[in-house]
Amino acid sequence: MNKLIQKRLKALPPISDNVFELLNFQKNGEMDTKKLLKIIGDDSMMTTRVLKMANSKLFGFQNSVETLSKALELFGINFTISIAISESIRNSLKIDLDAYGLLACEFDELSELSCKLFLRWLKDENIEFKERLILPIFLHELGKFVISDTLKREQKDKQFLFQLEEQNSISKVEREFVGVSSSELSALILKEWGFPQNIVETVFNIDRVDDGSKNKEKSIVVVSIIKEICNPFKPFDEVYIKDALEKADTLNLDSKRLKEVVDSLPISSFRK
Amino acid sequence: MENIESITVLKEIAKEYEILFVEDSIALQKQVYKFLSKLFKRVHVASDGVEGLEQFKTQKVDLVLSDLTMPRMNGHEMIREIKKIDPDVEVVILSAHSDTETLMKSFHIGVSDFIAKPVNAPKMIATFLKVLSNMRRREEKIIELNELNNKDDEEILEFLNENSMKIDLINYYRGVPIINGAKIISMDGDEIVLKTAYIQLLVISYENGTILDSSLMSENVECELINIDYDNYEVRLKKGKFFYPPFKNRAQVRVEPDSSFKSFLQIDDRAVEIEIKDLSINAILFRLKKLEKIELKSHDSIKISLSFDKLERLSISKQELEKKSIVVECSVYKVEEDEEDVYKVVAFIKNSHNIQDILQRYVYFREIELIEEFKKEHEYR
Repeated sequence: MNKLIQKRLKALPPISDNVFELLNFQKNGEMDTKKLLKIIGDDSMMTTRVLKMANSKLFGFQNSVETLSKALELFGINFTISIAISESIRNSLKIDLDAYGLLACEFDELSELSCKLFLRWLKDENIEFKERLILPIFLHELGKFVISDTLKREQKDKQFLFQLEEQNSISKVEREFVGVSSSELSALILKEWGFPQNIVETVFNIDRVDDGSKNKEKSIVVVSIIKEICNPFKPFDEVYIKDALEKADTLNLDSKRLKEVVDSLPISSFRK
Repeated sequence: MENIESITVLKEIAKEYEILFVEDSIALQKQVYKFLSKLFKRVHVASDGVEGLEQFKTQKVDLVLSDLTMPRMNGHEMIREIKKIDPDVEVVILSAHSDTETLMKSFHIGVSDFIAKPVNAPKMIATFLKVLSNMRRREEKIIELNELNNKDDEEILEFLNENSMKIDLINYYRGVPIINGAKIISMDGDEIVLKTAYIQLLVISYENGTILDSSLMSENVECELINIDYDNYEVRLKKGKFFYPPFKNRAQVRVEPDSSFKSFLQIDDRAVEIEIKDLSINAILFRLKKLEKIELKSHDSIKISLSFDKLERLSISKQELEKKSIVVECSVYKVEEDEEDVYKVVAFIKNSHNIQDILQRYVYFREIELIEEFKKEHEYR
């Protein structure tokens, strides 16, 4: 792993105690919504994000969602917690995706789209399975902020972007340039912060699905497919969609449904 | 000599704890049990993972010592189940396997340490000393924290620094509180260096300072910004005065109103335009021109009509919708001179569930707008 990246790993800011309160709430299967509303409600950033997503066209709730408790009712406990945690994490680091050619303001939109893609594609899947993966879906790109920042400092960002154009595998180019893929780095960041092992492991293995390793666990493959389609370099690009669909087919996941959902999402702003 | 001293120290610490020992080899069970019973308050014994788990559920266990390869349920499986019940319990593995994969798997599931077979006294003494010392240190820290209530806040900051404990940093963007945890990196006289979230650094830069807050301190500390190291997520501050904290909770979040906001003080038969500086679900802060010749004093009952663009979306009555405004009944809390020709008035909103509901919705909307604005202006650059 690149020395500068190792240094950045050691220089991470602390994350809010609210994050751990929410993780424990989730882990313990707590149902005290009053307590949950207090934790999230006392944090303006978390509150804002939950409400913003609840009112986003992507989620298409009929009426405007004006309070946190209403959003909680509509999203459910686990999804609300995941949104809140991801917002806190997102605000901890400097969002930098310049090396991938994506603006920071586009990142939030892409993040929502990836979540929507996941939920619509697997709408018939059992709730527990889906809820387990929401956080990894929100958090797996953290590593890219650090990679992008590092490449810019080393003035290798233009070279990096060029290689992304030339090669089909973002994680391969990442490993060539910095010795680690963004998902692996995201996992290391989450581990430094003390996130639960199951989340760390899921994120860690996302980029290893194609490397011939034994790791073809369904949950990891699903996140890997979402990551491929919603990559920040060429989000919703035909080549990446095709690869993702093939991956889905190989592992007997519903590629037809996946294609339908991709086609139905408002992604024109990302198609270059 | 070192061993005798170590045993003495270990006995002193271990005598307060109960240990669960899980091992399927009867011979080894007897041998190790004999050793453990000389140290620990009580030793619970099990011969496999199923029995071990059952003992853990029914006995008071502070520490687990377990073999890995056992019938019915192996050590790893048992430990996973134990960790679900008590994630903080310390677990030490006693095993013949020393390969990396087994060790990594063990540490992945939360094992604290490892004693390789064949077992001997020095190995066990060294491992238990380490594990129990850590347990004791953690417990002492909790007791110390409880005794801190009467300590001076300055000393508390020192304590937080020495123990690498987090504090909160509080800032405001146009009324919206932005709060994140921070770790104290160093303290030197008046200066304090903290590490915190990126977004907090941005708002500290915006406000040129921040407020330090900890539930252990009775007062908050106002700090002035010296410089920010964005690369390392660090901020250097100059400590200022201690003061009693404002608010962090939702009921008291205050926001600057948006530009569409119009407000009038209804007094006698007049409707006098006022400028609302900020509002929450409980209170309104407004400016009133002296020129209007209205003398307000504490405890006066007043009515304020509010109109703003979002009113239609906020589920109000048909009557209010037709008037395009809501009327809020308030009680004046204090009146101060703001500038030469203006009074600054704080009024508390009298209990009305409907009004507070509308204001709560407005505050939520406004928070979203202000945070988006903050991110656009400061983050997306």
